[in-house]
Amino acid sequence: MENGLTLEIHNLKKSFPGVQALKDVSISARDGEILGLIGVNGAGKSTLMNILGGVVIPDSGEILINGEIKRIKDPATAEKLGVAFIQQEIQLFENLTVQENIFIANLKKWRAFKNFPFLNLKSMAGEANNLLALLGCDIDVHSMVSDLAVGEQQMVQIARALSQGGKILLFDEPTSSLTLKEKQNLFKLIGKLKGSNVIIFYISHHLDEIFEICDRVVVLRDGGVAGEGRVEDISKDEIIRFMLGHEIEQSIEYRKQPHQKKVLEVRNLCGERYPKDVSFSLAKGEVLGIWGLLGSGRTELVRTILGLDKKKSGEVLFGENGELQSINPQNLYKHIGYLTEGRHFDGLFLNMPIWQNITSVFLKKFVTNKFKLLNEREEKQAAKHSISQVNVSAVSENMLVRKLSGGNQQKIAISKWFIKKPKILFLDEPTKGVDVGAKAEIQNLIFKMASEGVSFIIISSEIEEIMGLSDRIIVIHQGELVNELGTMQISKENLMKSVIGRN
Amino acid sequence: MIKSKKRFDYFSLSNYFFFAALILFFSLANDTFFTSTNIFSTLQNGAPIILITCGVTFALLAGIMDLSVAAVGYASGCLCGILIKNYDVSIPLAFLGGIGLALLIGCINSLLIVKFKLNMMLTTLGMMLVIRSIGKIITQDRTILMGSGISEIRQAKIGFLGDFPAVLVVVVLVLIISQIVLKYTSFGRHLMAVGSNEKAAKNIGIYPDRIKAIALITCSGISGIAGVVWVITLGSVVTRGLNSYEFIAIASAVLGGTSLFGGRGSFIPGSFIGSIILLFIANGLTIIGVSPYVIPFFRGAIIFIAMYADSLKTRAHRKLATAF
Repeated sequence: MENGLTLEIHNLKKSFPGVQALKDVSISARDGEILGLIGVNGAGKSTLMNILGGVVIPDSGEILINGEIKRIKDPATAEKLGVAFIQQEIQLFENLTVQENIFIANLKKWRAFKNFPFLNLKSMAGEANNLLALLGCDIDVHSMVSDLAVGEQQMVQIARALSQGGKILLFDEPTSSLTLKEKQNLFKLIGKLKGSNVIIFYISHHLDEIFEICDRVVVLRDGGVAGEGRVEDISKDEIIRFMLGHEIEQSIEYRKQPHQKKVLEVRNLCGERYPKDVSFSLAKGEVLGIWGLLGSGRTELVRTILGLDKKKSGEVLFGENGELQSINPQNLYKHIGYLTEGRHFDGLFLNMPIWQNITSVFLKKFVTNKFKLLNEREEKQAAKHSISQVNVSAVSENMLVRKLSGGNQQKIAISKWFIKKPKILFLDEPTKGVDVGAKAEIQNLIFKMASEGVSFIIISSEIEEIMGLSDRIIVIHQGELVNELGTMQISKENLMKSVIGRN
Repeated sequence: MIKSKKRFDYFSLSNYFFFAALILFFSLANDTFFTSTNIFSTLQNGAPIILITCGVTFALLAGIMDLSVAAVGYASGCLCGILIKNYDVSIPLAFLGGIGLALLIGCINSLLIVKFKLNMMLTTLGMMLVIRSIGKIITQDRTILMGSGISEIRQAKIGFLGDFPAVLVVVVLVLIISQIVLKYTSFGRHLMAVGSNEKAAKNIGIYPDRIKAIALITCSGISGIAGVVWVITLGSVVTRGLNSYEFIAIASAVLGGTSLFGGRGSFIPGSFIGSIILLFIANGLTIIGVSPYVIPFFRGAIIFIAMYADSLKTRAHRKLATAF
């Protein structure tokens, strides 16, 4: 047997009430290996990571580290064994500083005197700076975490995991909130770590990322290993087939040209900070992409139009049959739908069942009788139909939303708008955290609704997605509209050129 | 295909088991406990607390802790008593006056909490002190004995409902209407949504402030009805009436499964079963001869047990939350 670090997982099983999340999973890995872990939403990736991280206890099966059987009964044990878990959702203490957050788990180490609980803040700051420098990001270690952008918070989270001296690093979709530059830094770092006797698990929905940094890829489906192989020996199509069990249906529907009638016009819109003097219009049945880097003010633009952020000046006009009229947010909301970026935080009612989440956007439709009471049976039926459209058919509509996996929650968050069929749908990162199959379904639904006359305004960080969906793209940089690209001009180069070189 | 099996939920039934055990215990311990006279008189005397629990549940569902409810009931009762006794106002009009005062206080509460964003606990605590004081000022802190008109209402029975006391009919109606509003109207659903996740509610076009204001006003209004019912069942307005009932009401609501943080709960069975558990514990202990000083001790202990059961429930939820 070799001396290096090894990890073996034998016949891991775990079931939750009503769901067999993992059925008999065996994986092994050795030092210096970066293992890509992919699968559709609910395939069992997160359960597997949660077991390694000590968050969830398996029903049966063994985990061997360096050939010894280990029982990981809680996160503290996991940490002792050198397992560091970087979760997808940011889990930091907002009211503590960056350095305090980084060392929060082992503050004892940083005592200035051995038996007194005073901390040596200076050396803490030094070490925190080192860690962040390693990640190539420039964050003041004394600033409050609540003052950081989401991408920076993710970096702090990674720094915390590194500070614990992890030997087995679990990354659960670390790039979902990072900017391009931060992502490249992270990849560089992962490349560096590879040389230093660690095992890295890397979960992602982005096949490109898997191919870029991983050595080997394991595909999970329905709680079992569907296939695995070295990245050199496996193709994208094969991975997708392993994930779905079948080929993807590439139904590129014929898109009708958008109408000429305008439904929305924004004139010289200014907010508190962002947006700055933005004007654009939207035609009926048009899919308008808003492209910009993280922090460019693209979300603020949408929130200001909807009146969720304060408007300083400017005008929003809306009209159903081409005649535009100035409209206040309260009336505008009757005609639109808004899918937020942070589904957990501000997009769903986690304690409520799926059907109530879905019908919540358009209760009026279910008030049928003369007492103005809701028709629960119709509601449930509509919800059932609407979740089957996005392929969450595996669950009952009575399930609480909190019990669903992240990707399925995203599907619920988006599918609720298909009931209301609003005139305009604002979607902020519509396919974030969603698997390949569902992504295609959501995109097809967007096309279908657009050809029925629904207009879309879509924000996405994924350049391919926004290119594939949009009829027209406006580019936002530091709150200003800096470029507008028509169908013929949409290309990666043009998009990147619009924002790069402007910093 | 994964199938979601419906599991038997022991936790949601724990209250019924507990209530049944309670009734059984006291019935065996004393013959007078399980008699219609005792049951009806306990319910009738407990009518104000059941109603206040119902009111406070509205606020709790929206995620607001309203500490002024009992004081609102007290002030409404005082105003009602004074209007009848000193100003010869007709009884129905006086009732409306009392409830009107309660609605007014609800409006002020929602203005302060929703519009001016003051802290809800401190605002309603302050409001509690202010209106207790107003009640004492208008009654000059003296007991007011009500006339025969009120005692007639107390003894009124509804014939076609099998001589059901009229006061209890009010309680049952308020509970049923509240539950229907909660479960089968858009407002009820929006109330749950706001209590569950205010930001998400705002993003889908619900106006949380409006929902919270309506919840607070309804809460006060029902507390006002409780105040009127209190005057009827007692036949007098006593000083320090309904004292510290706000805490019993909140405990009852939580005992009935309503979350302190909003978004979870019900009126039937929730508020109803929660409040009658505490009522019959006090009643049963009194009947079997336990010292009145000891009864609050037992009530407190029951609240601890309820909170523990609730935390078990949330723990079960949390376990499920990490699924997949």
